[in-house]
Amino acid sequence: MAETRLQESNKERKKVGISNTLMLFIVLVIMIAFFGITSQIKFGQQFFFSILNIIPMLSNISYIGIIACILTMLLITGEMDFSIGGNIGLTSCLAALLLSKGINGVLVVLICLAVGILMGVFNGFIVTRLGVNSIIATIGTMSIWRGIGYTLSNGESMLAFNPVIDYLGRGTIFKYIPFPIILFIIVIILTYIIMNRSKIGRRIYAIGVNPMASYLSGTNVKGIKFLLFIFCGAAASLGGLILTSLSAVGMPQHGQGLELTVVSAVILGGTALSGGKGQILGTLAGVLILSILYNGLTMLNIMYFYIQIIRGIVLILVVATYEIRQSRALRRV
Amino acid sequence: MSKTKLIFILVLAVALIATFSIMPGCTTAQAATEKTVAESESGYALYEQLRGYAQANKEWPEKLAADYSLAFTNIMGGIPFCESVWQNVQDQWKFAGGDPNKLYYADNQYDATMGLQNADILLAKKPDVFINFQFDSKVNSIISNKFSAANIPIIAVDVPTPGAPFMGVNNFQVAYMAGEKAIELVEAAGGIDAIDKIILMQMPSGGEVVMLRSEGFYQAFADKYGADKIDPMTIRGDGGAGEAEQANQALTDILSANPDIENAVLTSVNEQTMSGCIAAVQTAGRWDPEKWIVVTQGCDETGQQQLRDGLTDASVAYFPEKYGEYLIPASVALMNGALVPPFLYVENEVITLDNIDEYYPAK
Repeated sequence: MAETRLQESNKERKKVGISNTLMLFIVLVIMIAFFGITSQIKFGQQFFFSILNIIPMLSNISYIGIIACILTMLLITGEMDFSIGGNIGLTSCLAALLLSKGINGVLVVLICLAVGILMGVFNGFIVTRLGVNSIIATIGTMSIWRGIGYTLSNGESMLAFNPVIDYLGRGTIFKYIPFPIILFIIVIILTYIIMNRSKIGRRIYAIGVNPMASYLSGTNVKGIKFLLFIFCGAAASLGGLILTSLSAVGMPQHGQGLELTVVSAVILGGTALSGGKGQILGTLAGVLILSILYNGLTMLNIMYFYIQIIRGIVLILVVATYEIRQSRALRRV
Repeated sequence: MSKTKLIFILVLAVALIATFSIMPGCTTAQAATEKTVAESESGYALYEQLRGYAQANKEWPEKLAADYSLAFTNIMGGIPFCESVWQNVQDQWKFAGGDPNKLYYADNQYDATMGLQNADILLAKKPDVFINFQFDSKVNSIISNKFSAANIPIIAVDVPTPGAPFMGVNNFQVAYMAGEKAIELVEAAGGIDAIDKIILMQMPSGGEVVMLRSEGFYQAFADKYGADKIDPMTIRGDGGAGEAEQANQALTDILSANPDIENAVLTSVNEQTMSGCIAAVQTAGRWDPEKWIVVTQGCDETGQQQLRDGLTDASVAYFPEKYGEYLIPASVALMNGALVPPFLYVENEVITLDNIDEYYPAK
């Protein structure tokens, strides 16, 4: 009986989820058309659709997108990781420091990813074993990671030139396709398969809907959450390495405030902070909307303050639309 | 040769000489030669000529920027110093005949990642010149690479960019001026022995050149009293990326670690960090204008207010409201293929309560 109810709820969630995601992609297409047309009208030239704009924009999106996809899975379980920004700062400084000591680029990448995994283990341990609320725990670790970053770098930025690191953020495949975009696409595909085509994906949703019921039905709730914190740590470290490559600099300030951008993109994509609801494709749309909005508005010479206002309005409007649609759907049931 | 033939040849020669001397090409060649001679004397004739136009603060006699586009990134929109710079850039661009729609703008928000992103967006617009006002000197190297690859010249503002002419303050000179003013105030307050500590709130993230902005201050004291005397008294703080909040935290830490500081000399890299520092001293309950000698740099609207409120004793003015008078002539000179000096230093002045109205009349 309970299983039938969960299946029905899943069907309902999927139905609302798909249509919300579709709605987001429609918004995205309208936005792209708007910026393309206005850029043409205002400057008499097509800046927005130029390769010179699209390629760097996608590269800049990639590391945000990679982290956002993994964070979506964690958020669906009802947990949060605010330490991603601090993780990026620490990873960036660590990579630059190791490179300055003459350590091989591949080894630097592996060490940084291992440290990222350790950061995830630490977060997972505090949340799942000590029972600390994930928001509080990761705000604490965000500060610790960034502090370690400042200590490693002595508060200064450090040059980080190395062929392996350079390739990670600035390398291209087939001359034009930036390597970080390939990484982003791989992460999208993997997370999509996990969330939509695997048992563990269904368990992640179930944990978010009702952790106690999931536990009673034999799901290792703590284990799955622990694993997702580890994924988050590794993804943030990968993001930190890409950002270090894009800027050719390791600095403790890297990733400052990024946690809010990533969380905004995930929420914009339809993931509920309370857990149990969310789509990887929705997150993809959320990341694209926020990034294209910034790119397009900056391209149109709009002042940053107005861009912030517009981003805030878009976020509230979209989330409010979700809520209205959700409550209407519930009334129908 | 008959007389008629000789006269004919002479007339023909005179006519030819007259024709060639009237032809515009020959006149330009002569002018170009003069220009080359002038350029060889000063090296930067066109820039200097345009700088003269800009200093007049009115429309230039020639609309030399009409066919060009210019991109400008601001280090942090919303703070008085940066707003003054941006306003003057816009004014001078209009005076130079530039189209406001071809003056592209982005705000870096003291964020190197955003600075990179903005540089990418502006690069896509293929401006003729890019003015880079971005706080981290090392991140500027990758920005420089991208623009060099696209053959777009860069002008760096206040923070160096590899391979680009530098426009801004002569950091060592202004810091030394600030140091000399502080020494004057120290002497008036009873000499160096009456001072407990000299606090330099620095900005290491701005690179070595920006570090001179406080090291010059130290050097003025070391030259006057000797390094042996000054070194043990000097505390260097990391004021972060030039914002009030980080400087506030840094000075709070310094005050906690040095509970015996009563009489101190304090300087910082800009007015925003100084406002954070002053707030830290006040919050710690250790603020006494008679005991703290505060000399700062920039003298933007925040700095002017701090001076008028008696929070600071002096400020070395950078005149951000005149930055465009250097940046636009340099940009237009580059657009026209002329050379630009590698260093374009702004003129500076020590501003105190005694002379502030002379430079910035009270509103």
